[in-house]
Amino acid sequence: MLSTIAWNRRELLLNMGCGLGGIALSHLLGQAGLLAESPDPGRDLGGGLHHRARIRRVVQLFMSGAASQCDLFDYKPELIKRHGQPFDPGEKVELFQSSPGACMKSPWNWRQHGQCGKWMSDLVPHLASCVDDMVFIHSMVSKSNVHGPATFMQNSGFVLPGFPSMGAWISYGLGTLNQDLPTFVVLPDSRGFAPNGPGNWSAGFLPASHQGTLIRPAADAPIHDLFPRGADFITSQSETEGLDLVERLNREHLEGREGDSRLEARIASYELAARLQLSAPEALDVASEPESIHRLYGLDQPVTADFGRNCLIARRLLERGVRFVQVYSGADNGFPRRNWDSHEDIQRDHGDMAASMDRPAAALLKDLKATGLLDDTLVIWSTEFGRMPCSQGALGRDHNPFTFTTWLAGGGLKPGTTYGQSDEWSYKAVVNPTYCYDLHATVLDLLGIDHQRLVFRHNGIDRRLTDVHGHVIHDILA
Amino acid sequence: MRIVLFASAMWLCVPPAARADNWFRDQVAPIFERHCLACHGADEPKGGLSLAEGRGALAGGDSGQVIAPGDPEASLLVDYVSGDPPLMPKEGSPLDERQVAAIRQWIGQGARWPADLKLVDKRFEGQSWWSLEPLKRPQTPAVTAPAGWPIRTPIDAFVLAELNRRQLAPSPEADRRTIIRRLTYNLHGLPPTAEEIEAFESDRAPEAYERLVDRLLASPRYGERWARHWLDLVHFGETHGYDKDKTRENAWPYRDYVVQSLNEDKPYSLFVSEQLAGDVLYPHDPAAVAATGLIAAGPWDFVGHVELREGTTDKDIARSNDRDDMLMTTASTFLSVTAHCARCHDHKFDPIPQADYYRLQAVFAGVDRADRPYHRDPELQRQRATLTLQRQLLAARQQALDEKLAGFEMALLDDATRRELEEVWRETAEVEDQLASLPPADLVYAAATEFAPQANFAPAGGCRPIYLLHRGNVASRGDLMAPGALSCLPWLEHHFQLERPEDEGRRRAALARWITDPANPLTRRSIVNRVWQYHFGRGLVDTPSDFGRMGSQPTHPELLDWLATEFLAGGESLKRLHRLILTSSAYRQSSAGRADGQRIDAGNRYLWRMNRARLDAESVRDAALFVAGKLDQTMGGPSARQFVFKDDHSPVYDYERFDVEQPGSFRRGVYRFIVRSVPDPFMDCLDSADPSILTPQRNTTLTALQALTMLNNPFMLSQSRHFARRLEGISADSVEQVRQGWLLALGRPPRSGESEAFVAYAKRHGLANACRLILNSNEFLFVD
Repeated sequence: MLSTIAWNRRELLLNMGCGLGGIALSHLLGQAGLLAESPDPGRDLGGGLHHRARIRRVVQLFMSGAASQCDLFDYKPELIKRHGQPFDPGEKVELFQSSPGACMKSPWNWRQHGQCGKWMSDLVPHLASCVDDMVFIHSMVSKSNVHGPATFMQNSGFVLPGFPSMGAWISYGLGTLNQDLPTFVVLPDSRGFAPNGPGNWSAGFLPASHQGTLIRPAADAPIHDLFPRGADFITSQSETEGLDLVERLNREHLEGREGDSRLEARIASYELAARLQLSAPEALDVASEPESIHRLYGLDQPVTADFGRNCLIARRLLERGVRFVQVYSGADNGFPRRNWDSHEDIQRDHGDMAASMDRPAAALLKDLKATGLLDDTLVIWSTEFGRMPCSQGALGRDHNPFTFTTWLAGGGLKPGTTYGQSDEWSYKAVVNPTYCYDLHATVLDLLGIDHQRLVFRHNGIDRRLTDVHGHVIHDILA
Repeated sequence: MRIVLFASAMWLCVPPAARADNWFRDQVAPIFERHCLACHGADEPKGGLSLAEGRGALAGGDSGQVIAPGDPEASLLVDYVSGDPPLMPKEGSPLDERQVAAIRQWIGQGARWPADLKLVDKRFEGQSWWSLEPLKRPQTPAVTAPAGWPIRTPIDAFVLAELNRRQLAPSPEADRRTIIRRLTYNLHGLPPTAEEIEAFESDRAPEAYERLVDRLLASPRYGERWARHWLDLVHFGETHGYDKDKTRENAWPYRDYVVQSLNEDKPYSLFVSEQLAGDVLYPHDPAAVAATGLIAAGPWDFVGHVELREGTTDKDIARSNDRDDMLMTTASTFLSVTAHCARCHDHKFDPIPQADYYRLQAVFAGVDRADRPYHRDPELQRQRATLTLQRQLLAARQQALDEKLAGFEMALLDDATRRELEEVWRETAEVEDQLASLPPADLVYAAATEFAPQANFAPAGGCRPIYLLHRGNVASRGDLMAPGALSCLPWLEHHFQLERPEDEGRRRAALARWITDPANPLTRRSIVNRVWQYHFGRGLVDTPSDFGRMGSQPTHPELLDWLATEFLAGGESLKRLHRLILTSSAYRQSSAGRADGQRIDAGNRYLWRMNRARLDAESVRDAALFVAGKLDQTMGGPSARQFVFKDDHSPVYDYERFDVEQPGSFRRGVYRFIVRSVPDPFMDCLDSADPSILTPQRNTTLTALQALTMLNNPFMLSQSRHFARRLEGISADSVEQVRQGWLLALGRPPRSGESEAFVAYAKRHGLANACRLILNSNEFLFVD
């Protein structure tokens, strides 16, 4: 038996996952003069927790399976020159599956784009048209070259399961921007989950109300249990009257049990549930978008329809006040390939994945920009690690945890910039090696959170998203 | 006087350099070790200043030199420790005058640092901490019982003493319906039946309450209910987790072991020992082999172990993480210490040096998590264990002979040796034959040293070398570590004195002995606090797996120690401990709020009333099945899969497509197959434990998504229908149907207004709809 302890007001809201995040709440109470330990009463932080926020919401496009930096964004003339020559970076190369093959240039050509003159591969022509809005980090490094642990690391900062993901931390720290939808939403690839499954958007040791809410637009029931299914005894009339009756019953039950806030909270949770039943289907209704938007996101093309719909839904959710949306491109590591893990044939498999991702991702950027939402939204494009500049077999590439690319766009950034650098092969980060800790610290910073002060005590340790690491990347901030 | 003169004369004989060395060693080094090294140690010193070695100390830190040899006045170090107020040490009391003078004198004499002298952090030396103190049985306080609140057990005296101190009065005893509902959910995770309530209400015998407690403890439902608490603690799961989340088809015997051990009321020390080393200590007993499922309970990186090649860095990381999980589970569960915090550096807050951590890793140096062959049939297991032991002895004889014979030609052997060699060969062949002729072995997913290899995953074949890793980095090896335990209980030897340290089993057995030693106070404080928590909703220490300085202090320290000593004296019987707690007046109190209590102790830390509980996920599920008349009370065996499973490169677990009318749906929650990567959305929504982390206390949330799952989950809809069908079977009269529904689900008849409203609703919308509402009521979900 658990939760035998009545909640105080703070716990009440923390554990209801409606209203506000834990820390956000105490902050707000502080602002209203309700808490003695208020940090900075009255100071307007624009929704931030510790300092002024520059963005209010985040959308993350996650390329599951490890997208190749040297076939997408990390232009290396030297690699092209040495194509076919032995790969010898001057040290023992320890690969995940294979022994290093020869240097292998990308099967796609490269050209410069935009005002900033960024080199992009022909694999992503639509994203190439957005380079002046993007910020590239070419020196990402992972602590694991195995999909599961590395995907955990990008999500939660730890290579182990059981830690809260970034979205959960943000929900815990800042709470929601709306009263009708979840704070943190995840749209997986319709073909299945990325390695680790829902563990990637877990709340870990934070209250479960902060975990990502799974939405599968292509499924019969996009949100678990939003409506009763296969129960013919339930009608809209029985539902309306029934909910009134439960509330009456629960209110009578309160008598003699005053002072137990959990009982009230549970009554309120049914009201919130009813609101969610109204607002969620509306948010998922892409049919109401104009034809031009359908075309922009590629909903009219089979290859882009799935990821395109998810990107469009992401925009609709952000508009309606969802704080953090994570959209996956790529499922598990099975065969035939259905994610970015192109060990066998980079041209075939990255070709397919990029074709499905490129137009919708670019559409999301353009659409957010057109609606003005991009000013206070952060777009993150990331993956768990990169791929080797040498070949695996004749045509594939093995895992590369030593350098990979993440790009960002949106509020508070210096658009059109590139940060960090890999070596001449795109084998190792050599200038400003950057870990997920630094990326996470920067995202939190933009949201007005000091990553060192967003903590939660668990099993004897004050845990942080950034563990004991992390530096805000000031060079990319406006 | 003569002695003093003699000593001075001796002093004069010592050369000045040595004299300065001794001064430092005796007078200054202890100050640094006690007050400075915690931050300014060798490892990532604060401000870049390390006082662990001479070179670093004299070089200074980020802000330059802090020691000017020969010139104390120009030394920043002296300013830091003697300013007003002193800047250093940052934590703890400032240095006293004599200490500052000693440092001045040392610097004045040239700040000599004896060659090769390395200092270590000794901040904990001589400091006491409640959980590390030996157990002593406290006196029961003399208090006067208030009217209507008898002191039934010494627990009541301890609780009352704390309440008195705060001018708080305890609450009166709850009514009998409330009591039996509370007790039955608490011990069985199920509601009482209407007949049981009726019988208890009308039983006016003075020992009616005690009899009820005994009946509930004697039921096998008790073991099922309390096993779930234990499985939370040790993060038991039945898939590996991570990528390629493969199933563990043979993890369930460990779950059954826990259920049975609790039902048999196995002495706690035996329960602990079996889980750490049952295969070594009691190899003939199949239950003891399955018990080591504890070591294998947590997640496992399939790709890291099976696919990564031997000798790569990531392989080392995977193995180090694996042992880390084993030792964290052990130390957190049995000792309530956070030993895992000492992986990268000495523990920041508790006296657990990094060496202790790696000594603990060395305990698990030879085991892996794998399907281990054994026989569930005790007779077959006895034979297997005997033969395995014979084979080991023969292998040892063979090895001795091989060493003796190295380089000899067979033909040149003396007769005796030849005879012995032939005998060993013959006997080995016989033993192998007999082992091979045993029926096919059963399997249990447990601690394993012998198992079928799989790609790059194979038995260690002994103990893997364990090194102290600087910053926890596998590439940064320090000393080779011998197995051992924690050094913070000085009266228990923490270096294991093993006859054959290369025998991994003896390492685990030694750790089991260290943990269960009657002089280990952590073990008993930890378990009695956990049991208390599961009865009252909060432990006497409300950080049940952290009794260190970052954890909470006990609200009732003497009660905790009294319970621990009483538990130890009573043969470590958990059922005896339950009885002791449950028969107290403190437990029997009403949960109703009161203005004075609310004002003085709103969180009810001092137990002026009972805490109201929200049902946990398993209890919600089991209770819904129980009131609907669908609960399948079959015990044990392979777990019920409440999802559609598709094995693949990465297996697929689909809960949406599972048919909730399948028989597997009706088993108790403790028997459900627990997937790590994809949790059951219904259970997850109700805060079931995440099997990827140790869960000493579950979170409780009350969210909109939870309301939706209670209303609309196919399982709940199905139970609403079954519940209605059951009521229709009891009576055709709708008033009686509603009355029976109330009795079954809420343990009381409906009041007239409730009855009228529900009868009218059922008439309009059907009984299934009405049942669905009852299952969604706060009264169903909360226990007073």
